[in-house]
Amino acid sequence: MQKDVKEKILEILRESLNAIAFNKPEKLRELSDKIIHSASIYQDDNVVSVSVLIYALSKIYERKNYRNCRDWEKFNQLVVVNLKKAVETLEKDNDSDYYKAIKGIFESINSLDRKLKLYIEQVFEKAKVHRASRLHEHGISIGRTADILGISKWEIMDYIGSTGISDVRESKTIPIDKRLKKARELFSS
Amino acid sequence: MKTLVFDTGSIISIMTNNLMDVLIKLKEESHVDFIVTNEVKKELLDIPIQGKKFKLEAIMLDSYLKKYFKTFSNVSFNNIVNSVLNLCNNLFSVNGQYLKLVDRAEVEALIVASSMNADAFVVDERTIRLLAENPMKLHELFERKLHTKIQINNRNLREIMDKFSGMTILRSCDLMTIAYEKQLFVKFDFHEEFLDALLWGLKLRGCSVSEEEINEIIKIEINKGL
Repeated sequence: MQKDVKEKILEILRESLNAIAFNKPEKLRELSDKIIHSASIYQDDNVVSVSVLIYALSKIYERKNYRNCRDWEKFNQLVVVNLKKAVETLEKDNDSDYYKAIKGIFESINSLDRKLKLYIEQVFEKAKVHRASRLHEHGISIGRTADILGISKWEIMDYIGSTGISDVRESKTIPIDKRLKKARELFSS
Repeated sequence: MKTLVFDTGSIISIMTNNLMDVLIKLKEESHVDFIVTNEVKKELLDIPIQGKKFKLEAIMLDSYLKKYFKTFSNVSFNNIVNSVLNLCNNLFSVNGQYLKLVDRAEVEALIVASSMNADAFVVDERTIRLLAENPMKLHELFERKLHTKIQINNRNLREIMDKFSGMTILRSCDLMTIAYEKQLFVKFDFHEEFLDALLWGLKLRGCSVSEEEINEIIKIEINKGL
């Protein structure tokens, strides 16, 4: 793993552990947004997976009703233990154990009761699409973001429409009357 | 015969709004050829068919593509696709790290449109449109979003501008506005709310058109007295 990528991930993971310990899901959301800048630049799988993970955790921790599920404590423990392990292994430049720790969080979902498992799986799926839309918002194309996140263009198109991505000033290239004039010329029979 | 090359996103916006029949009417009325590349076809059909969410749309789309679209396939294009992909993905950098902007299917469609002198390239996706029409707007966007100075590879910028400037780019919303002008929406009551609904439908399903542009289109159409 590249040194600067590693430093960025470490910073995010340490702060995420604090946010969980102090029950601040909104801080997790902030951290996930912070790392999306790095994801746009490096487009590194590790940065992208941490961005998806932390965003999904922000959504999971902010929903209080999940905490009533039977396996909530088990899930919380697995997240904290694996995040700590991820920090420790990355500090020691032990990349292979770091991957195992991050994978451990994703795999922990399978051991949960059916209801919580279903909720959390859905949150992770939506998190991928959401992160893809944030990468696109930064200027990366839909095709490239679909590649990075391993999702289809159909899913991204369906999501970005409800964001303000196309409303920013840089999106407008040529005046609409000029574009329509060209279209009219083309379709004049 | 006039020719339009389509990128994946524009067909997705049209299909998810159930407007393929209108697009085909527009094609037949104006005697225009519709072209998609193999890669675009893959993204439209092969990938969604593997999942559940857009499987139905993909299956329905398949029959339209077979009947009304020509598929462009030419392996000798591989080298030029690689070279333009390389130009685009080595255009902007942050601290020596180049930003990978686009994927192969997008670039392939753009090159096919440009190489065959297509009358228009239909693309709903913002990044590829900005690259072709005004790459400096994309640069502006990156600087604003990443809060940092973005370096430009001027040689690549010039090559991209030489290759693609002057190309006609249309979006699904432009095609559907023309269909509206030609009164091809025969099934529905024809009034200004319809145009608003049509354009918002496309925007909400991913077409890169701003609210301001939608309002401008509506104003233009009202002034035309339709």
